Amino acid sequence: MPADPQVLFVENHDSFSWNVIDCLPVGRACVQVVRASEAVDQLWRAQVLVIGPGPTDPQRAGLIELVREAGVRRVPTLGICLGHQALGLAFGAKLVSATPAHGKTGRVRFGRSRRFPGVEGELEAMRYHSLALEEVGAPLEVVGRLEDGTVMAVEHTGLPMAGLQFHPDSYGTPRGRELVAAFFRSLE
Amino acid sequence: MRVVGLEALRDERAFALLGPGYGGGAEWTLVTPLVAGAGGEVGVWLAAYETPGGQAERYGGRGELVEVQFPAEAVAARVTLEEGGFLEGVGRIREAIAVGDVYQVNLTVRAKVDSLLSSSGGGGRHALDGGSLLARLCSRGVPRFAAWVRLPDGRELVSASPELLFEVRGRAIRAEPMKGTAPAGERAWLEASQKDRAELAMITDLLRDDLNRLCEARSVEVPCARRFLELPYAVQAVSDVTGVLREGVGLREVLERVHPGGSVTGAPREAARAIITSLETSPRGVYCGTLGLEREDETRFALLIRTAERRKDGTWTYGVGGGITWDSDAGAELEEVRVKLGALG
Repeated sequence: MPADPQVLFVENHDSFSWNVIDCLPVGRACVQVVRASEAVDQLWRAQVLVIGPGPTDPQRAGLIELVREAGVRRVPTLGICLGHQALGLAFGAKLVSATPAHGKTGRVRFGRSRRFPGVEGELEAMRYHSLALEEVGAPLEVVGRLEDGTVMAVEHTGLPMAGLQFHPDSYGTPRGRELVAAFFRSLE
Repeated sequence: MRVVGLEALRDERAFALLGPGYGGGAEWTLVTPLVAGAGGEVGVWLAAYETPGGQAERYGGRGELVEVQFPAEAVAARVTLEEGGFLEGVGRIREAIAVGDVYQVNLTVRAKVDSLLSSSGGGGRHALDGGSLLARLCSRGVPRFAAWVRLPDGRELVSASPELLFEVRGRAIRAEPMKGTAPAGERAWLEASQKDRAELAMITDLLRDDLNRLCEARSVEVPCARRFLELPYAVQAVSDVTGVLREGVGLREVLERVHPGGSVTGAPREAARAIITSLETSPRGVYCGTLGLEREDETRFALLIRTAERRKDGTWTYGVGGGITWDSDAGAELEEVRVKLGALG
């Protein structure tokens, strides 16, 4: 992985997309922004795929096929919020209604992980979601949860893919940049 | 400095009288059409809610700092809230939030404002002069972005806005999104309200996103996540979002991105605007639009909340609304709307 990898960023009609782009540990010139419908065609350019947040659900947003394709091609993939849910659905988890928590912070407990080295322990995280993953199983693993058990972070055990349900890009997630940088570092 | 009465806009060629917040000092700014060589060139910008920011109108003029003398007694006004559909709208928005279609929507309704003084003797609505309405809105203290604008095409607005959409000094930009309202004296309640805290957090992140699209990488910051403004009729929560504009980004580009302001749309903006269009039964017009004063050294745009627009029959439409989230209670939201009517005195 080069120091400044080419990132393909999937923009899902959200108002937080450019917060995510600003949170990536690469220069803006390295980020190509595409819609979900164009993403598979552009996947060959990507050294890292970042699937951004957005409204609706991964099915309606047209993201599940993209995740599967990225998996087949072993493209390192980070999913945020909607992108995290797409990762879950593509690898067998269920998506269920949760108590909507838009604009609210929570304490996320991180265990040891392949993709977020160095962030074990609790961190404060801003949440913008009304759906959450359940029944996460192989090949995915839960690496972060809220106190009430709600899944907040997952990773693939055999591929360089991970998802964050909360927003590392928010000003309400003080260690967000560190977390995203850890994912990119884990690819080296 | 010249002291002017409200006849300044009634009788002179002036077309805009802008409150102290626009200029950043203690004085009002009176704007008259530009006379060649007269100096003091300023720009008055206006975009209605429905107008894309990039198509905002700009009226060049000569700005004069003045002190405004208001009449000793404000005229009486009659305010009639047209709240039809509001309670149902709150329910529809909460359903959309539950399935993930939207995070927050700003839902608004209209009030009619007219004079109590019968001029015709009939039972109809009665005209209220813009200056009289402005005086009424300023009778308990001048709102930061008080304004009275009369355009050549006959449109007229009066505003008591407390909200800064953004200000620009050189390449430094600051936005001040406002979310969360409580009756005057209820600051402690507002401070403790998790629902209002979440509403502001969402719009703060939305403004960060707006500025991230316009600013140098990693220059956007939130120097203050929440502070409170005390108004005569309410207390409001705001945050500060700052950034450094990329070289060459002009006002029109900023407007195209930040208008209509996140606090009057919701998040995500695109989904929230579609829901607003489907639920609200009349256009917002200049209400929830933006009015700006462009000056050589600094420029400020207010978000036109607490704003009345004159109708053809001489009565006024005043918009009020609030941010609807999952935690919204329809009855409490309607109460908040009534608090905001308090700006009318």
